[in-house]
Amino acid sequence: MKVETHYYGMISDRLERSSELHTFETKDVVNLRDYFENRYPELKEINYKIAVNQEITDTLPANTEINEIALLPPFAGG
Amino acid sequence: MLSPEEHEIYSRHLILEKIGLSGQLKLKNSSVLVIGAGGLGCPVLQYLAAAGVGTIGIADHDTVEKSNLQRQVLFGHSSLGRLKVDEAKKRLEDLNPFVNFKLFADGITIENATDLVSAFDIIVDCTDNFETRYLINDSCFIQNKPLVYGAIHKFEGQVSVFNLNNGPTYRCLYPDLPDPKSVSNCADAGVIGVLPGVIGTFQANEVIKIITEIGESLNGKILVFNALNNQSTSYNISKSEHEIYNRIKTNGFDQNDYQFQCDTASEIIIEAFLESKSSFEQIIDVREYNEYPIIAGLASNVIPMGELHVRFGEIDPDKKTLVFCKRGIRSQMAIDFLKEQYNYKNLTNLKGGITFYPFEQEK
Repeated sequence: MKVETHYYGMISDRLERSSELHTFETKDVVNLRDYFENRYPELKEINYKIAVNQEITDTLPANTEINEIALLPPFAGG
Repeated sequence: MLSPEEHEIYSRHLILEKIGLSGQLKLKNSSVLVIGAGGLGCPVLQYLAAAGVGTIGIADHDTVEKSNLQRQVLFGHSSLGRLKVDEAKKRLEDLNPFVNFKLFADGITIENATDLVSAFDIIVDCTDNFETRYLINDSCFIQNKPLVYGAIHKFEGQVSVFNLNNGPTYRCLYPDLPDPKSVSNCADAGVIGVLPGVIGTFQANEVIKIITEIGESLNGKILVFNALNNQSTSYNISKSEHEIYNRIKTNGFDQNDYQFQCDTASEIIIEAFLESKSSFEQIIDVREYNEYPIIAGLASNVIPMGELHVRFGEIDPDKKTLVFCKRGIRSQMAIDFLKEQYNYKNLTNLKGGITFYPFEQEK
């Protein structure tokens, strides 16, 4: 399954994109933090939360329809 | 009770079924502390004052600078150099003379946080740095005060309501202050001027809903807005326990918990540097020997990056030091190297580098 992934704040700055598609096997449970940090090692230096279908979690559940993943770093500015 | 004049001012609220006289009286009897009178604080203050919140606290230690005017719409050129709290009050009293303003020109600090937060019903975080955001969050948790949070980055903003009716706090989303390395751009990343207007208005709306007990607040949710594509998405936050709250309850605030997470003093732009030039005791040029321009007006020691590991001893660690290069990137690397390897502390990077040095003004 292809899942739209949104990058926010300094994650989007570092990766130079605000979204992209990632492909996952529907039958697999995926540790998303490991998945994204393997793909983009620069994420290891950044503080962020992951949301799957608008719920904060590090885990992609198996056999579930996933509409959106988001990587949410904190913002400081005001 | 509302006076006839107040009836007239708030007539558009009074005819709303969900607000009406009882809602307007709730606003009048409420007190809200707005911390930070900058990009977010300006719209929050304007809309809360206009809405008739009875008591509004404004906490900010800053003065108005020219670069604020692009987004901090309470201020004008006549405000430059003056305290934000005074300038904001002047404008807001004209907007609504029925509001009682309380000014805190020291901003919020670990010393005054408890007194400040305890004196108001709702706290609004409009600050621009992580240390203060965590201090505000922790104070609100300890004193059980709802916190309306807003934060911005370039074209994106976040809004949430924390600690309302035993709901999640900021630490449930981000438990600890970020590593300084991960927020290297926190000094000033740039922001589109209307964004704090949008996010601050969202915050004011949350405050009004909480006071008048209407609608659904962002309790347990964080809304993220992107000004470039107009997308806004809410993410659910669940509540978790945090050991630090017990520690603060027992021992009070510890300065170490709120320090040096975002070293905002470690870089300076050329205009600010030229104004404060005399405060720097040594200036290090990390460009190569053949690099131009040569700056006659700057008495600097040239230590190219490649020689830094052998010549670092020429840099006195006790002196306040400016490090520069052409664009400010190598000099930042030099600073990171000196900080990590040799524990240097007094180093400031010339942001943007020497490229923007105003030669025509040099005497």
